[in-house]
Amino acid sequence: MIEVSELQRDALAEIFNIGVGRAAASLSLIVNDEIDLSAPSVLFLPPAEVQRTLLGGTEMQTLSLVAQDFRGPFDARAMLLFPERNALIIVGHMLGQQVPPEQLSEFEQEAMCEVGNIILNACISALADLFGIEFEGGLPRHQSADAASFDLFGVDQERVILVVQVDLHIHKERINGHMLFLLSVSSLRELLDCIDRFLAGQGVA
Amino acid sequence: MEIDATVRSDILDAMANGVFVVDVDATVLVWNRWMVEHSGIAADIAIGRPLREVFPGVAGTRFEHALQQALSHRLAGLLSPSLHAPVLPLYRNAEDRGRDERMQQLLNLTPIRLASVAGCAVLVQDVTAAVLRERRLREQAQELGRSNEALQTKLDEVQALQARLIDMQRRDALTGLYNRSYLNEVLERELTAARHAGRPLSLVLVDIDELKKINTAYGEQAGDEVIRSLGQQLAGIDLDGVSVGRYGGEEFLAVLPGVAVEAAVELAQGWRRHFEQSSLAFGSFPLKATCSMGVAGYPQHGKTAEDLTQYASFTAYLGKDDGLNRVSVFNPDNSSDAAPLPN
Repeated sequence: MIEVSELQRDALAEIFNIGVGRAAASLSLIVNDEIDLSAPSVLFLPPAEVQRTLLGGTEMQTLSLVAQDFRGPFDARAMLLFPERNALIIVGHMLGQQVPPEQLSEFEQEAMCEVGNIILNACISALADLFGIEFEGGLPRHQSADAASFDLFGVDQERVILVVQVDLHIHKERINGHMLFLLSVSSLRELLDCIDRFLAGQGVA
Repeated sequence: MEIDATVRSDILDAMANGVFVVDVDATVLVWNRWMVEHSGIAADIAIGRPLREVFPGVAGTRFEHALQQALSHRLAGLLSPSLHAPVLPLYRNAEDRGRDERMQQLLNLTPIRLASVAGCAVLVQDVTAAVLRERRLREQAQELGRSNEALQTKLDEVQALQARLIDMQRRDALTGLYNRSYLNEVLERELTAARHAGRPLSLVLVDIDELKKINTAYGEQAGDEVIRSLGQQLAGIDLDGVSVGRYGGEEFLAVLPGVAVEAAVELAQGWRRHFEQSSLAFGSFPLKATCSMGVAGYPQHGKTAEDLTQYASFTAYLGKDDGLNRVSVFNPDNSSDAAPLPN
């Protein structure tokens, strides 16, 4: 597996925090209330590891997932992942009403889709701005999935997953989720090159 | 086969959704027929103008922000009807327009390339029907929840009323204590429990002395006052598991589970003294009354509820021969003579 240095990870963490910060501003505008977002950790993990650590812990739980594909100097499938219970809390706050604790209806799925779209777009645009590159982003799709049968990573173990923890604060509630970026080996190399150029531009490396 | 511009435009016009395209400066380039119909703005008016002029209301909205992101970063965006009031001034029909009731809209913003510069195609879907249906379902669910709550409240009321009726059936109207029939039930239960646990149980029968004299001298209301007063004192007995009831006109029965005869006598003496010393009042008349008590215990005196109550009762009655205001313990030697005594 390709080595990622601490310096590279720190730089990414910084960029993602800029991204989620922008997203928080957009979300706050919608609900007319303060929403805080932070990205406290950034990790690169093989798919099997993500399956085990991230989804293993939420076994038997339903996941709410918003996926969006990005193409550019490196391609990625970006996903925003919350346990459905947490997604219901978020959507409930966003819609300003109690959402019944059953599965998300179409109405709430669209809301969640837009929340995911805002957060993912904000992060991708932060990457684009700071790296000085361009992406093209597809439309977001929402999906509810059973954590146990969630087999998105089984496809290609060659891939690397960039895992960004997302903490969302809304109405004094703290809600955890994750952003995942599925990267091919060549995309990962390209991403790391981008980071290195960014660091060089900052006079760091 | 190449599809020429006219055909493309025809296809766009045939669509049952709104489509418009803006260039990198957010100037309108395409405006399909659906947009004309639902915005009330003709294509030749819209095309060539900045979107901000066509729809002044979009300035500063999340829609404009998403559009900027599509144009500057080529990122697709979505605006759901659940999170936003309808952002574009589009109407399903003239009637809705008259009431300024905008259609519920789902907006997809897709970045496109126009020659070599950025542009954005906006797809508008009318989701009014779906939103209304969703709202109705939600209202119905809430309504159902409310009716369920109301039903539950009624059910609780009925249950509380039933419990009160059952309780009333068990109680004596004058004193509020258990009545004879319920006290007999309690006694049966307690006796069974005592038998299983191998525990003693005592009965104390309390009989008011010379109530007839009080009735004659002051009237039956005064007599009732004496009964009520003794009942109140007995109701206040602070003892685990004790049940007290009015057993007859001037008789009370206390069931003392787990209490042996000697201890029951001690307790009874206390109650007797307390009643003797208490000053009763009937209007402005001070009343004085005493009571006699008979104690019988399980298992040494009897095994059945019937025997035990009878023994306690006649012990209290027999005790009065030796003087009023006293506590007597059942003596089996007297039982054969006394058993047939009238109450």
